Amino acid sequence: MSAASTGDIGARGLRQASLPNWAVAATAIGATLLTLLLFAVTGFQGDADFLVVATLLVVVAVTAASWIVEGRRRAIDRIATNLTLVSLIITLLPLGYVIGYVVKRGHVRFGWGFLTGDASLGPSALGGGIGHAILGTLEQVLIATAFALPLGVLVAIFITEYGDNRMATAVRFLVDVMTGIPSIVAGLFVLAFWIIALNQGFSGFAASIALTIIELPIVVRTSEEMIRLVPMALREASYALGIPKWKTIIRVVLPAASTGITTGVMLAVARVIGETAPVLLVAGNNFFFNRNPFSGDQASLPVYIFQNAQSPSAFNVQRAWAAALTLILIVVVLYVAARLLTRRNQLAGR
Amino acid sequence: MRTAGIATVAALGLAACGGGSGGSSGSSTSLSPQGSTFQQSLEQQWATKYHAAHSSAQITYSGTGSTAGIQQFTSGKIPFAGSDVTMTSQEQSQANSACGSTALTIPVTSGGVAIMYNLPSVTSPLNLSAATVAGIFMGKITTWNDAQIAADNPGTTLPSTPISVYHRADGSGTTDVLSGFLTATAPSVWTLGVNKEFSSWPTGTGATGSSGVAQGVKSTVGGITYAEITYAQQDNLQTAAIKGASGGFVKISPATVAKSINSGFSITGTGNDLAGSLSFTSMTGYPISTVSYVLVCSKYKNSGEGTLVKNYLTYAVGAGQGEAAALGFAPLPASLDTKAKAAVASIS
Amino acid sequence: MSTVETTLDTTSLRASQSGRRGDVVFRRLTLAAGSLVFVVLGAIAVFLVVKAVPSLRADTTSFWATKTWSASVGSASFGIAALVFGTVLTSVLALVMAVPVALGVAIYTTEYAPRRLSTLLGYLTDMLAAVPSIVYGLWGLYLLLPHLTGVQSFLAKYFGWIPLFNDPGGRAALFSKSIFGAAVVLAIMILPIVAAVSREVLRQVDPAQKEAALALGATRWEMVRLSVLPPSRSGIISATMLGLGRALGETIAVALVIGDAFSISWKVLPSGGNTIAANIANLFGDADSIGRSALIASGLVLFVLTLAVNLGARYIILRSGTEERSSAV
Repeated sequence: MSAASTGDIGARGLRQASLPNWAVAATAIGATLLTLLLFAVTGFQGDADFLVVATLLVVVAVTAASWIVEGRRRAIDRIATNLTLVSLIITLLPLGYVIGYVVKRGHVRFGWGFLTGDASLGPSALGGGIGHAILGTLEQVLIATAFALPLGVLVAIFITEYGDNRMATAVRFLVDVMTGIPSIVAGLFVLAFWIIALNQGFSGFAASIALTIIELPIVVRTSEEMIRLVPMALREASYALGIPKWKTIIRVVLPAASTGITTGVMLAVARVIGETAPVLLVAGNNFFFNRNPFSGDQASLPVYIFQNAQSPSAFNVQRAWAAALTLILIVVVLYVAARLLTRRNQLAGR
Repeated sequence: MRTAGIATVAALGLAACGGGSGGSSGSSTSLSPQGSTFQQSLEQQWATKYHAAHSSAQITYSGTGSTAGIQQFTSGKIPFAGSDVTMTSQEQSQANSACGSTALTIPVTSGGVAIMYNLPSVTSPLNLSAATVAGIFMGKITTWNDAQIAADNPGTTLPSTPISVYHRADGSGTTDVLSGFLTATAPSVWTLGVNKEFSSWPTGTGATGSSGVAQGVKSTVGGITYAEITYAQQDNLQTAAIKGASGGFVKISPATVAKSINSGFSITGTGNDLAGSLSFTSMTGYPISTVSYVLVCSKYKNSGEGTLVKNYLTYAVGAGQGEAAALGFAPLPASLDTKAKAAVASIS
Repeated sequence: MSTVETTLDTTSLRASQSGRRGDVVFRRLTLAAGSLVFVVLGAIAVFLVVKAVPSLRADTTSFWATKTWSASVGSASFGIAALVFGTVLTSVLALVMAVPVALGVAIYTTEYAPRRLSTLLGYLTDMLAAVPSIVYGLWGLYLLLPHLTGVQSFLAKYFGWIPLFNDPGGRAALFSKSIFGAAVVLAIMILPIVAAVSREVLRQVDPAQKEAALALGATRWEMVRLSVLPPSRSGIISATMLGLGRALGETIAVALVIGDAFSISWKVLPSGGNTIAANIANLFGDADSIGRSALIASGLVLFVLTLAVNLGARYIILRSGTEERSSAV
């Protein structure tokens, strides 16, 4: 029928033929059964394979049914819905896999004593903890973020709001380049400048410098993008009210971009909190609590995980996975805190 | 944002004032040595035991690699380093000036490099001669039932499984020892020379760290690799008995390693400097054995630090030798240990 | 929703003497920030160049064409051919796998999902980013690679006619630390970055545009295609660039999972491959001064790569016109 094939609101009036839900379900079930048959006949094996083929067939079958009954446009709409849904599942699968594996291997040694102790009991002992490493990581990352967040947002503002000059272009290029910096190179730089040339010792603060170098470009890039997305109309309305540019930026533009900026900062923090190589290079390692990030080797979670996961001692390996679990939990807590904070500070919701 | 800015300035200020001791990171109560990963587990065990006996002493050994350890030691950033190799003359003079006194090289332990493999169908441990090992790692021997392996193991049924070689992707003293052994005992087959790392392995897959190669072998039937014995124990992998230049097929154990060090290690340093060299062809025990050293100053600028280093190392070459066997190392042979004790006693 | 209801007290915010001074101060502040970043990042670039030169001088073979890597004082013969190939191939494969999925998730989260589910999905996607790289590397090595053998055999068997999946030796069925495996791990790592940033970008689209499309009878997908995606294009490209940057520079996860072969081969299924960043991580600990210098030289090449890709992306954005700002009014 021509009307159905073009899908126009036309000869058939405002109501179009549409595929009722039971038909969709029936098609899906039919496709699954077909897959079962196919597997039985051809001798393919494997649950994963079955799921993949079944999903494929369901999507194809429903789309075909929709095309025939509802017309091309609706069919394409269905494909889109199904494909985005499939993307969602594909995204959640590794999440389950990874988190599940970390929980499975990590819960064995997990506990309050583990979270508050240090590694002084040694590799062969059953006990021992990561309190010193948690403290080290938190101190190092918080100092790095204290640098990277304000600096990054200011630079993003510079590039977007005051960006009509060569300096801004140069800064933008440099930031682009730095988004790809391998973390170990940042560590090398700090090692050469801070520790050797300026003759400072190993310290948590040196790690913070390296982490800032990695964190900064991510914050700048995402903030720049988010600030750019704030509609001109908002700014113009603010100017029209006689508000100076700087106040417009701080009170209008930044709050409008704040959820986006928060996401960017969170991504950056999640990235640096798990960095092993630069931290090992310049903060060293310590089995004991070192509360002072400015002097002396300091432990950190990623270094702890890296060294212990490769240890021949089975207890060390168990502790490494428990530390990995802890690290993920810390990031999740930071995420939730950041989201809650942003929600409160936003001037208006969606 | 304002508070973050103030925090930033404050942090910078603090850093400028109190950042780092600008030199060796040691003090009279805490040390952070670095270096060889080969001796890492033993050093960490020693540090634990020492701390248990002296609760104020905090010693943390990080396995960052012998080269990194030497570099940090020669620039005076760490109190002592663990190393599988001796310093070059240039490094020695750099160390001397960083220490302000002569730098000493003292062996603290020895160990072997085990050849481990995954072949469930063969229940008795395999024998491998040096030429066979070289052939396997050079990719010339590709299946387990190859004639050369069969010749080493008469009477054993070998499967036709292909051999999957795993080698170290990262620089490592273990690779250095293995390549040294193969170059000395099978130079016609092993042509890559001696090095910590090769980018031109003719065969096999690279993996990071001893645990990486062990994991590779564990996951692949037919896999073979070289690593410290503890990794074979941890992953339940069989180890081969190796035949070197002299002697027969020898299994790796603390006793056989010690026998090799006795026969194959000779001191080239003078006085309290116990740097030495290994002769693989002279080893009569397990033929892929090596010594691991610490690099120390004979006199420390900070006397408290010097005392701690001395006391710790006195324990290490004394009662600490008893910890070696459980971790897969071999205690130093008696004569070498006596010299090491004397060298440590001279530290101040 | 991009409209922000501001409840500003406009009397106090009117331009005044302090307002103008504030403008100057603020402008100087941002300029200072920009300059600081310029100086620091510039110093890093200069430092890297200075450190890289000694090894380049000592290199006895062509830096660009040589595949193997042997760099130490007295014997320097190294080249980045295999490393660049591996870096680009793993990153491109990872992008190809991750970006469509990430976009799909972002679109689903913002356009298709009911409100509360959308928030939950946002959290879940962000959780993937919460996993540190070392954990991805270990998980990849211990869990993923053994399980990938099935997929790899499937690809080799049914898609082996594509040069990429060709596997003459039958090695794909074995545990293999392949470029494909590394690309899968990388794809999972960059997925949340691309998805999260795209999601924020898509959220900023002017609802009036969306409603206009729907009012004209567009299906939901057509609405997305016509009103949501075009203004978001530059943001999505930026998200992709961030993901690519992560993929190019990822050090420890790739080092643990890849097979470390210094060769150039399009076969991604058998063990092999190496990237610039993984190589630096592996060799740095035991490298002497020339060795380090050579590794830093390879790091510089990585910078140039990143810069080239980002420049290309910015050019694309520029060419696609000024649809960057969602046109309100």
